[in-house]
Amino acid sequence: MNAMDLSKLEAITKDYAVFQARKSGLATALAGVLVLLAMPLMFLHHDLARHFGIGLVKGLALLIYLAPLLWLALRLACGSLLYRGLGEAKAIPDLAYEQKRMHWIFGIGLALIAFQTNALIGYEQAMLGISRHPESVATMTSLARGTRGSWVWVGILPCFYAAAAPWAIRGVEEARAYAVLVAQALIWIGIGFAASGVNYSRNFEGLYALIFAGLELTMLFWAILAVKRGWREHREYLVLLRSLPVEEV
Amino acid sequence: MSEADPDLQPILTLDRTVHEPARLAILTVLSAAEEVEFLFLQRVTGLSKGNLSSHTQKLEVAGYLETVKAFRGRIPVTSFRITDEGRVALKAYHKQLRALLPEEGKR
Repeated sequence: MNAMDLSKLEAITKDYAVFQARKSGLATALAGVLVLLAMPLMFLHHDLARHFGIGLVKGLALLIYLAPLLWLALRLACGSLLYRGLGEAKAIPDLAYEQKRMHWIFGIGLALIAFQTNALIGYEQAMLGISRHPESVATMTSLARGTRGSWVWVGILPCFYAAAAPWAIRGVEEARAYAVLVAQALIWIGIGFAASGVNYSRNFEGLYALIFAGLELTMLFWAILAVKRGWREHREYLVLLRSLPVEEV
Repeated sequence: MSEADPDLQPILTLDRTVHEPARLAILTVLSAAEEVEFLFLQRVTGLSKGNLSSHTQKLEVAGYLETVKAFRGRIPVTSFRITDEGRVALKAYHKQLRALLPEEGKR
């Protein structure tokens, strides 16, 4: 056996176990990149539709709606392809930390779920034609209405977001990019449907504009943070792998 | 060594199951996590498969670790976890060893 300081051995195991619990170093960074890509697309969708046709915008809209699931797939892929080669190590649960965070996690989780429910109701209303306006931010939904499978989406989207809810709470708990992505998708949809049926340009001023800009900046900040932290975690993981001893013959 | 020097007595009473370097490394790793897979334990300790199996068996016989057999899909996965007895033994070993060290060797 190669000589290795026992405290170093202990530290490596702890770090590895914590990383294994999340398995999201590179996926976190990619989530941040996804958000950074999705934001300008949302802003530019009118211009894109004008220049490249409605088909492209429909595709982009779908991508943005499915962003949380896309990230889930990325995370699973990263977890199984990059971060499982050395076997699992389960971290010892930190009860004190969990108790301390519990109220925050619970509160933010509830707020997210409330927001999500609101967004879904808005979505269903717009899909069913109860409230829509050509100039509203809900243009995305109006576009989706034109597709053949709009009724299918009415049924499927709530399932997607309900399935993503526990992950959103986990993301909040870990203060990670998934929460950002889920929140991003929900906030966009929420704003879209909250504004559905009202004149977009007339209402996009004052407090509304301020809240909107604030949300945008927050998302931008989280996305950059996710890229930075995710990349750092990935690098740390690689350093950890390099520090492991070579197997004896 | 039937009549040991009384000064050497504390050294001789060290738990030899824990004292062996490979087993000490194994217990140290296990004490830092709830459960550890064979593969990781092998990589982190740098032991060969056969050596690791032999040492974990000895530790299991001593009651210091337990083996958890499971399946991931169709692949069998062996993991280990330290027992309460193992934790106590490791702590006692650390304490005993620290007491035996000269002052400059203690941290």
